Amino acid sequence: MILAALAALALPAHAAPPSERVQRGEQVLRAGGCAACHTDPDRPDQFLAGGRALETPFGTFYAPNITPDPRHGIGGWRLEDLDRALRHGLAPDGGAYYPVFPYTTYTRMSDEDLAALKAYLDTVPPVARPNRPHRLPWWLAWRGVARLWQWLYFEPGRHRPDPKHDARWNRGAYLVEALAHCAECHSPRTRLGAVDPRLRYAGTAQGPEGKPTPNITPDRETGIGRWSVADLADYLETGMDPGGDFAGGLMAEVIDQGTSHLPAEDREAIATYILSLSPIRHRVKSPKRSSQDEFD
Amino acid sequence: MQTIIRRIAPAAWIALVLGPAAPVHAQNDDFTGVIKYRQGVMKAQAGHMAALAQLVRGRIPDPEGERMRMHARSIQALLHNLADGFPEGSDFGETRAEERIWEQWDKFEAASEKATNAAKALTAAVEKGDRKTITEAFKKLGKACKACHEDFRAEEE
Repeated sequence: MILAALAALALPAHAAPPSERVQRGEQVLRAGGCAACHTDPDRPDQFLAGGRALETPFGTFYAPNITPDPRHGIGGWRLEDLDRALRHGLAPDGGAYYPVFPYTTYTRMSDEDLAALKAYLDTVPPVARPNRPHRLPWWLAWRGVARLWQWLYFEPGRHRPDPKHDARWNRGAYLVEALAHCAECHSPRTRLGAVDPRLRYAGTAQGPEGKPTPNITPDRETGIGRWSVADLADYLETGMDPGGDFAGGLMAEVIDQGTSHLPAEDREAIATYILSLSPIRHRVKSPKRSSQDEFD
Repeated sequence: MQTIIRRIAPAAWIALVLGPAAPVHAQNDDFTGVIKYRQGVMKAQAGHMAALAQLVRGRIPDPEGERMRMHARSIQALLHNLADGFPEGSDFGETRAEERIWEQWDKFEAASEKATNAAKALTAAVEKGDRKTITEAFKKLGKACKACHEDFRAEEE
């Protein structure tokens, strides 16, 4: 039974008719959180046309236009170009992307999802919005640094299901580790910008835009160990935490543009996987600012 | 010895910087009450929303819809004149209210009205008792809460 389910996960979906493939592609985009970063929150009408600023300790990055506009977007890209970008971190001209673009996660994406995503992106209305160059310190402005970073920290390769777990857990693991890239924001980074492997998912005071991100491991004191799978699935749909508070800031964008559009089973799968992580005791916020005091 | 000095050095700095600022803080004491009050109102709403979510999702029996009605009405009452809880300048003190509230007052007021209307729609849906409409209305209210927090509430430090 479990083996059959895993086999189904691994089977290529080449039989899917185009419209079904496009729909699947949209779900890949939503699960991958692409829309949240590649859409300017002040111009929601310019869907995926880039321009959103992402402040990091390494400088300010502006997400590029990924609509099919031939001049400013990625209209001329072939499937191979998207593959190189998402799964190998390389631009069509061979230059390395900065790891602010989470190809470290997308590299685990399946062939079918990649093809579906391409099919969907081809259907998005093109927007002729020019890209804005990143604002980086001089030593980072040279893209060779990104190449060096990749050599040090980037391991390309597909996601592999774990036969010790059931289909739902495996679906969640794939969604989180190959698409949703929760760890990229919910983990501290080393001085060289790599996710700290000891504190993966344990939150950081220095998340994107200098804001803290909470510990999402199921530690009862410092993480979300008191949440049920249903609580977390609800949160990813509506933005309401079990205390009745509603997310704001970046996570609200992730929910609005991403997880709220997923099928309910996918949200449950994500929640199942996240709550199965090893609990890590790591307090990000001061103790007074626990869930009891979220309005203070 | 050196370690101790290193450890207390940041605290000493904070005392040095905040010390002279203390009287300024005292001047804004008049907002303490309003800040505490609106935080209480927000917490009360959150409590009702948390409880209501379990009912809307059918995890708690509520055959007559009595519990739902109580929570929906309470939220509607608590949301009444929400914007009045934010007098200009009350972003000083222990609050996550953003200055943007008063810079974009019309937008803030519209956002709070949206929440009030969503709460009214939820109460109406609960009165009618149709599950699907209730779920939709509940989600819409949640969206209104989230939209306002996104624009006007600072993230936790």
